[in-house]
Amino acid sequence: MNVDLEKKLVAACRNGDRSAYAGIVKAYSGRIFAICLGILDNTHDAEDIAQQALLKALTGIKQLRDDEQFGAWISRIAKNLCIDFIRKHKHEQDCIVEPAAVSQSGSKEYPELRTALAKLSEDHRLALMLYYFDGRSAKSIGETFMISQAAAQARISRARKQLRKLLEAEGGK
Amino acid sequence: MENTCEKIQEQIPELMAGTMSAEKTAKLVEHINGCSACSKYLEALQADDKLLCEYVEAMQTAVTQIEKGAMDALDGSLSDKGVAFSSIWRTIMKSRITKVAAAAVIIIGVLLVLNYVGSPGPTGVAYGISDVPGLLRSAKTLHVKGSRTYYLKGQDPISCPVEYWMDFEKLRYRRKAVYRRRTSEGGFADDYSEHEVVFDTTYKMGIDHTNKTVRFFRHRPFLSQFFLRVYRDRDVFLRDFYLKSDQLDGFEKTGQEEIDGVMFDIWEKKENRPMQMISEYWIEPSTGELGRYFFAFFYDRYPNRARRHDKYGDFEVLLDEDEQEWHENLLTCIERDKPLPDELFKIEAPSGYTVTISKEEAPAHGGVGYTTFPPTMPNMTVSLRYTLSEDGSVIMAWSDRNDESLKSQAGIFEALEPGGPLPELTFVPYALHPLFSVFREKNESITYVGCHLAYTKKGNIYYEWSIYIPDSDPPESEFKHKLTYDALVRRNPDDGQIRGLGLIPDTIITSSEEFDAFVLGGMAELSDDGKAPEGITYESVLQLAQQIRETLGN
Ligand SMILES: [Zn+2]
Repeated sequence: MNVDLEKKLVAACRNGDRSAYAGIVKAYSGRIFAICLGILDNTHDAEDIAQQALLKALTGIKQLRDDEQFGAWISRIAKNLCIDFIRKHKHEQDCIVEPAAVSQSGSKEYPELRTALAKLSEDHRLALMLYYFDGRSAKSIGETFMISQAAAQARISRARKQLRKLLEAEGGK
Repeated sequence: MENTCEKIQEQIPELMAGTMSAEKTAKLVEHINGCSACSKYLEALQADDKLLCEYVEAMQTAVTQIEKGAMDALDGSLSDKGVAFSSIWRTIMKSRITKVAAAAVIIIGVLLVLNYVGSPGPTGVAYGISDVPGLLRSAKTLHVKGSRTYYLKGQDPISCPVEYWMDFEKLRYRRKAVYRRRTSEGGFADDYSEHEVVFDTTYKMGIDHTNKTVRFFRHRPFLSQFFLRVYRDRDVFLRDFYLKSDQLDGFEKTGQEEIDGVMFDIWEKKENRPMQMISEYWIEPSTGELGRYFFAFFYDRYPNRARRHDKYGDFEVLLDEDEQEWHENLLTCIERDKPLPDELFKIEAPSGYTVTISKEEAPAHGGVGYTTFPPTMPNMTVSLRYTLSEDGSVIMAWSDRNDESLKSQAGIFEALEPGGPLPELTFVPYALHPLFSVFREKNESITYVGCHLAYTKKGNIYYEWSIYIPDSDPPESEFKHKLTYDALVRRNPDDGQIRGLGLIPDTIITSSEEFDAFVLGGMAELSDDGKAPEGITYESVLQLAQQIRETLGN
């Protein structure tokens, strides 16, 4: 996000401006969901944790240091919440019948893609989710992983190569 | 593959992202044009791209849910007094509301297909919005037809039809959908793909109408049933309607409209945050028949792209209309309980289509899978879970797949009594605590005590079917929806440590019929002889649960 705008929104949030909260939620929901989906690989949990991350960041926004970027900060909160969650439920995997089909939202389709995504390393999956959920830009990947844009682009390329291999192995398109 | 090709291919994703310099792009394109391996790879990546975009698009409802959930929770934590709304925001809201109203007008006059065979409601009782989830959930068959239309500024609207048929009694399903590819500029490509999925109790067939290919998977009756049920229980299809039980708040009856000689009440809900949306149902008050459903919302196309332009330095950047699309879902046909012809569910490749995986070579699709325990509890798995809505008891099938342990399990299981202690395998999930969704407190004041119910054996694996009885009244709210459990697991012999295991209930059992289908069906599925153990019925299990509850001092 544009730094000035972000600062304005953050300041407005600190003053309890509800519309500013809504602005932040809308701007970051895709990215936060992508992070949670990338790490947790489960729509149901990703939804819950993403909500929790947004809430935690916004209710604790006063803890954000002045020199800190909001995007990087909220991404870190989401990552930490996911890690906490995994620590508690690491064994939790969706089971039964047709995992892709029984989970929520759009995940009911694309079983091959979901299987392939599940097989990717966490870093690769996370990079792909961020890329596609957050405007197909390398920027959010850079902010989330704390790496340069060039390194982020390289990570997407590697992730896509891996994904291609996996989809091919499944006999997909 | 040549070394150069490998290098080229590594750069193709960047090429597709459009962030590469013109010079580099030209060089790359020149190679790709003259190299079949690389151009094939580019095509494959483009196909992946399309798939990923469709996937993300399909997940947008989840993102919307998150936004809504976060704002609702924030509203609870913010004091409403003294909250300042920025004037800009208010202005934008207004302009959007006008647009909402305009969009609502568009749909008036749409020709509707209505063929409804429904059971009449209790006389004198008018059906309203709160009855809709129940009516949909109790449907024996469902046929839904409609489309999603995307309105982008400066482009013609794009419409993607969708249609599906669910037969909950004969366990058959068919869904047809058209997808449009998004371009990197945010518009729609000219080409589109049309896919269809059909399954019955034996096969699942995937049809790719665009490439005219068909592939088959093998299926099983129990799995079809389970799939359809879980699909319903987890609100997947209700979400398509933007109607979960917690989304009923805020609907109002706003008017009436006659469609094909039938007068419908119009129920409407408008929201301005976290997103602009409007949801409308046409409900016939005496039968609960649904005449039509409309759901539309603003959708931020590529928020990040907009925000990268430094020229926008104000709040308005978030609200720039260029970055937004208006999405409309209109269902013109919502038929409940209409007999669906067998023809619809024919598992046969349409003529002229290439079969890529034939029925003969069709791989088994799915199966009763299992959740593995964490590495600290090797070889422990959970296969099926149920909650009985009658008394809140939980039934869970679990197993210990440790080879050493398996050798001695026969003796252990034969000695077990219904209502008695659980088998002392390597690890024992001896109790449950309910877990609410993340915003709620973890509830440790209720403990579900585990007792043996039955066991089954398939292959060399023994499945323990345990029943967990709450030691006080199970939680009321959210009970039928998002209740999850934390299983408390101890090691055998006890090392004094309690290990946690989060569990989501798979199926809510509300009647004896459902018990037979899902619990006994699951037991049969996990048995060599395909039969559930004798003497287990819904009544006997509820009775056993009651006896256990009494010994718990309730
Ligand atoms: Zn080449």
